[in-house]
Amino acid sequence: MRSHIPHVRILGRILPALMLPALALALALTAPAAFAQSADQKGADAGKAPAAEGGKSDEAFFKSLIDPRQAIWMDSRGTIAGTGDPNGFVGEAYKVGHGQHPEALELSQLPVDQYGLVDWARSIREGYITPRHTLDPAKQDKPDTKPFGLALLIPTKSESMPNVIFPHDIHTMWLTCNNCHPEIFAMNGKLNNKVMTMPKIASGEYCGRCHNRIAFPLSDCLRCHVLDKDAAVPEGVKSPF
Amino acid sequence: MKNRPVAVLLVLALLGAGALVLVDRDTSRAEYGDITLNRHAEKAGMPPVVFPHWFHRIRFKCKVCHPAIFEMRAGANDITMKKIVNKQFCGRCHNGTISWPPLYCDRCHAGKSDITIPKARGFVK
Repeated sequence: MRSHIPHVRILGRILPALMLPALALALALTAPAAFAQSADQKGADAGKAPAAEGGKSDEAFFKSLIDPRQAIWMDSRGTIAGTGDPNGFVGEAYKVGHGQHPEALELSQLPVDQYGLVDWARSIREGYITPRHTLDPAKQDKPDTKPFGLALLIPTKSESMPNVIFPHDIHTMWLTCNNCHPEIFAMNGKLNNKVMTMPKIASGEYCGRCHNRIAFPLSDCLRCHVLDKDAAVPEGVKSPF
Repeated sequence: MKNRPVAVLLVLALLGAGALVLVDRDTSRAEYGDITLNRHAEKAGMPPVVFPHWFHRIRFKCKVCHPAIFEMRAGANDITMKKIVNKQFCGRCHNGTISWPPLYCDRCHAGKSDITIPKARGFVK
């Protein structure tokens, strides 16, 4: 998974890609006239090697090689499946990106949470990614419906755990109403908070339908349990329970 | 010409490192949130499918595929190649229009029988 020493991991991924510029450099050094043209044909690769020698840190140089849109366009074996950008081209990342699937995710440089898993909420809020909202070509250029802002206070059954504030906001950036309603969460006061317990959630009901599986894990307690038991309910947060 | 041995050494070192990385490539692995699909695959003599959730999530919101194309429950979707070829399930996009067609078996059938999807860390079931 995501290494705590990304520099070293990225180095490992990038070495093969460095082979081309290194080769071009070596050829240029040994037989300047005959191979000058071939070095030129290596394009941006060869062009970037001297930039790194010119004082840039190694890390900055490695980062400059990677276009995340291209680096992540590969299947689960790490075989290139495309560039990921219909208007783009197969650039350095095509060579750099010959990594395995998790390393490809690493190269995408998305923000991560305390476990090193992708922080999808930050990714979409801060514009690291702009996922499409429909497959319908006629609607693709139109903006998505605005997120539904209602925040709900869900009191915990435990004395020690802070209360939960459920944000519809981030959930509706990804999902639409009928993903969760009414099958997973009954609406209009029909949801019984007393039976919505952590053991049930951990066994895959309620929030556990997505969290701990696709969405961030349940062990990240304080990401949901945000409001102290004795704290005042913030403005705009409704208390249906 | 005094740079020549250095350059040759550099190239050799990089070739060696590259070979190591290539050897390492044959292992299929998965990421948190990935789905293995194996209801039919191994019975039909194919390796299990590893669906990279993260990869699709970068490009599409959840609601694009759920629940219209895939119901959001393990075991709720009976996915076969016949249906995919008929533009159901994965074939809604993987038909050569929105994405590449289902012609490259090993892009999806990349798992092994014993493949494990990384679980949420720090949480004991």
